[in-house]
Amino acid sequence: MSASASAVPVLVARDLEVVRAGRTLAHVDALALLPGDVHVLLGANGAGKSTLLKALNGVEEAHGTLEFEGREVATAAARLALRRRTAAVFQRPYLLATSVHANVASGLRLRGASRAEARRRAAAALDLLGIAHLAGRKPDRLSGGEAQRVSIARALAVDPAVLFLDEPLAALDPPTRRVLVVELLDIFAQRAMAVVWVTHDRDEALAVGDRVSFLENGRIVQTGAALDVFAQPASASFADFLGLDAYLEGEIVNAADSSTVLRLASGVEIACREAADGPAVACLPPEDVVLFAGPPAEHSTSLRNVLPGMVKSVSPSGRLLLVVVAAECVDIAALVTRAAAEELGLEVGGSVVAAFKASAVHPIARHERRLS
Amino acid sequence: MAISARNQLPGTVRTVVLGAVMAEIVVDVGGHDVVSVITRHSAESLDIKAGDELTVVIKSTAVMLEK
Repeated sequence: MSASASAVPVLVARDLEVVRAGRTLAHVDALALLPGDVHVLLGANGAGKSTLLKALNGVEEAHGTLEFEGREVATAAARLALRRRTAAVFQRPYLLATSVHANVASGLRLRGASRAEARRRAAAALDLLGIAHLAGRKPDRLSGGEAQRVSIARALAVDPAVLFLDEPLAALDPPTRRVLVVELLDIFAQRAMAVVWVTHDRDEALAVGDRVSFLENGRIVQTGAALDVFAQPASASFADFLGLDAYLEGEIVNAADSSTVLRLASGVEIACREAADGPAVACLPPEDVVLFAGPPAEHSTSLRNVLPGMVKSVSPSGRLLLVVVAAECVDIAALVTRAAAEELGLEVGGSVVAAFKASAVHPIARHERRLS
Repeated sequence: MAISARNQLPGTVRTVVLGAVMAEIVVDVGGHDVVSVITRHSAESLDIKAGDELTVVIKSTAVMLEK
């Protein structure tokens, strides 16, 4: 799904730090962006994601080392050169009060493309985003989704080596968001560009991220392959941010009888909410999981998911207990009362059965991408 | 069967409405209706029909209270 391990990073940051009025707004020990990878900067509002994005883009002055295509970006001229090879998209599209076509061509003209070349490449970018029919329209006659498509087309028209996206979907409605995610990931894969995607949305990070860095107080506290990071948050605050959900990775398969399952790599099938066929990660909130002392009799429960396992850990979570069950190939967390734990005689190493409704399992599509 | 869910209420099925994917079951629990939405698959495999006696199971974390 991501770039190959041997790929050479296009942008590398080391000990990069943005300091204003004696306060560190963002700091990165080490970050490498690979072509073909979508690197998500995830964190709460005010965590320093946008500041870091600007530092990586050369817009915000920063101490430390930034290397673009193997060369250090040390001077104002080098920062300008970096900005010419990158492009950015923000939550708001920031379009000029001219035609859609002129907007998309504007980035190319700024970068020195001839009028004819700008026209040709702008038309190709409009085509790519499916908005060629809007070429002559003014921004005030566009919907929010159309305007953001124009903004993305403008960024892609310059064929950037790195594309920076700062909450690009935050202002859009959910259906528009879903469609755009699929289209964008396809485009990124074809272009083999490095993408930095800032979001505060856990599900969006799961849907788009090859790699995820979690930011807190301006610092990256954890970085890694998206699912590894989500499965094992390294700090209590990151775990709080993510919630206690279990993440199940697999393939959505719809059966002829309209039931939907998530097929795990082991072949185990988890009944889940309706979703389109394809790779997905499903979130399972622990408050929706019940535990049985032993397997319930056949046809005795409406719960579609019944997974025998072993108690891996029991830890307090407020007034409740968080019980992690190592079921076949997957860990399932359940929140239960202390009274329930006592009654079931739960202890680490003991056998138990975790069970949950299909409707408790929320799949998020992870779109398979291949570099062409 | 020992189960962690704290609330297990015996009741009688009043109605079963089967949809394409889901089923809505209304259970009379001590004169009050409790509505359950489960998969059609589950409703069929448990063979739930009006008049059946069964147990409504609700986790304590899912119970809301109003005064």
